Amino acid sequence: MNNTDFIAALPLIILAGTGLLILLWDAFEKTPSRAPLILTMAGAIAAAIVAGINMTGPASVAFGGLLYDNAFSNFFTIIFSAATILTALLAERYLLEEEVLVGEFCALILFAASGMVMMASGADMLVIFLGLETMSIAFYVLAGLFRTKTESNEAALKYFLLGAFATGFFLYGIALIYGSLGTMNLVAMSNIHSVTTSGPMLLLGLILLIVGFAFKVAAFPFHQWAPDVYEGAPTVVSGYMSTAGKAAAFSAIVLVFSSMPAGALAGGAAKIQIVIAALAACSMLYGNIVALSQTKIKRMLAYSSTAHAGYLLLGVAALNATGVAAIEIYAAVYLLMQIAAFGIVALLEKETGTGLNLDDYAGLAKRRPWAAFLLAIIMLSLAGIPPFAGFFGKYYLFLAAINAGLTWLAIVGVVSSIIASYFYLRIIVLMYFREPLHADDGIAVKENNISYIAIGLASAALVVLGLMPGLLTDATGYFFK
Amino acid sequence: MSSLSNYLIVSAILFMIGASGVMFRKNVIVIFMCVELMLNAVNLTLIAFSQFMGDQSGQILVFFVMTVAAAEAAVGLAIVISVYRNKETVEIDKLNLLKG
Repeated sequence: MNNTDFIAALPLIILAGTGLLILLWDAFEKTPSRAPLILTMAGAIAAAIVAGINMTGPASVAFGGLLYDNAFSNFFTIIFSAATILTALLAERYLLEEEVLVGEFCALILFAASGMVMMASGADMLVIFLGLETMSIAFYVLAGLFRTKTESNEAALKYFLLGAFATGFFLYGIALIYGSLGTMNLVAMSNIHSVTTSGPMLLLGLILLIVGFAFKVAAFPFHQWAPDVYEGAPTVVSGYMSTAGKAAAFSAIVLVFSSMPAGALAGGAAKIQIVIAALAACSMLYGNIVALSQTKIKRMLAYSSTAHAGYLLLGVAALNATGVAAIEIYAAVYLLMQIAAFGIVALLEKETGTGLNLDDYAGLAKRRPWAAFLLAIIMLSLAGIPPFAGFFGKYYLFLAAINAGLTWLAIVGVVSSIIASYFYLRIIVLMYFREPLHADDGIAVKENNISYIAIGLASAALVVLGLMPGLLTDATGYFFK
Repeated sequence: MSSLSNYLIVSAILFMIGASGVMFRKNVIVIFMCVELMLNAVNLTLIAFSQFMGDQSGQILVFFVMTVAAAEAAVGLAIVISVYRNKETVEIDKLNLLKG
């Protein structure tokens, strides 16, 4: 253990340390204030800067083979920090209005972020498991943050039970992989040249790992919890867990899969690819088709997040250099789009919990032109229409699938994107070409500049990254040909 | 000393009992107990592998799993209590506010 180990782990230490600091501060300060939110942002910005500096340095493995410090891990650290910053900005109005405990909220999102960083940089399945649990336990509490609201309680309970169930599968998968390869360390695993133990056990382990992972990212057919949880959880939290949480799970699965020793599976590798490809195809089609019939915006976004998990799974199925880079790019783009979309929903939500139906968005352009404009950009980007960043994200994923010989999967992806554009564009039609169904009922939501700044920043990033996709592709360190 | 496969079969059976309990029981507390059973079945697998391969990392992971299970229990039971305060029930069927 030396200084370089600590520098490699510094983003993690900063995120967790800031969380602890906020908890401590909160114990002494009783009046609600914005200080924890500012501290959260400062911590996340510091973590992102350190990760950015680490990214330029040479790749290494710290703490005797426990933590990666490379372009991949630092890229994900930066996007998790960005998600934390956006969530803190969006939460400002939401939390002060709903009178929940701001300090606890901030500490929990920082702990969740530190769990995510562990998942993206774990070089040992032990670290990945701990990261997953650190993140998940923080999310269970965040989903139930509104203790007096029955919806929030119910969301927390459902998320907790299914999350813990998924953890069981994930862990069994780890145990079987450990048993068949003799090690839990990913670096040691990728250096195994000849595998003597049985192949079927390894195959079963990987399948169980995929099941646990599919639960966490809400991929079909393990998505049933997602609409309920995203609907019942505080809107800002839904945005955070459906984006950063999902990106973290994808980073972990990419780490595990790309460390599998070549030849360990023999004929099994093709079977695993088919399983993942089938999950991807079903998630894309199911998510998008069911989203068509939703009347509540949070449920619609939940089903669309299942579809987006499908798009990202396409990159896992390809599992080549292009696929990994495409996952990094799409995770970053998806994170911006989805957090901003939930941010707008939180902004328009009434204190009484109404304002969440699609009908409430009719005629929004007249009542709140800025919110309608930003939501239009986000919806176009989610639908994957150029020149917004969502288009390039999908393009690289489809390209990766074609490069890996999965042309049929790319076709399914394109078809499901076309289906999806219907419900994304329907919101734009509702906002701009329909009259409001009912007049604004007087308890108009307070206009909040900080939320607008956060959503505006995310939307601007979508436009800039859409016009200059090179910014992201360079950051992933791969070259697209 | 019995063979490795005996331990693996016992833990696979325990895991399946736990998993089917989660799927078919209605009481939240019982479901939670079944989740714990699943985790402990995995612990048994890990210890068996660790013992037969002469490798320590499996046993180390078991300690972490027990710690995580304790943390999960703390959060989970707190959630159950807050649900009970609002709904006065912990039957999973009666929690049906959220649906499409």
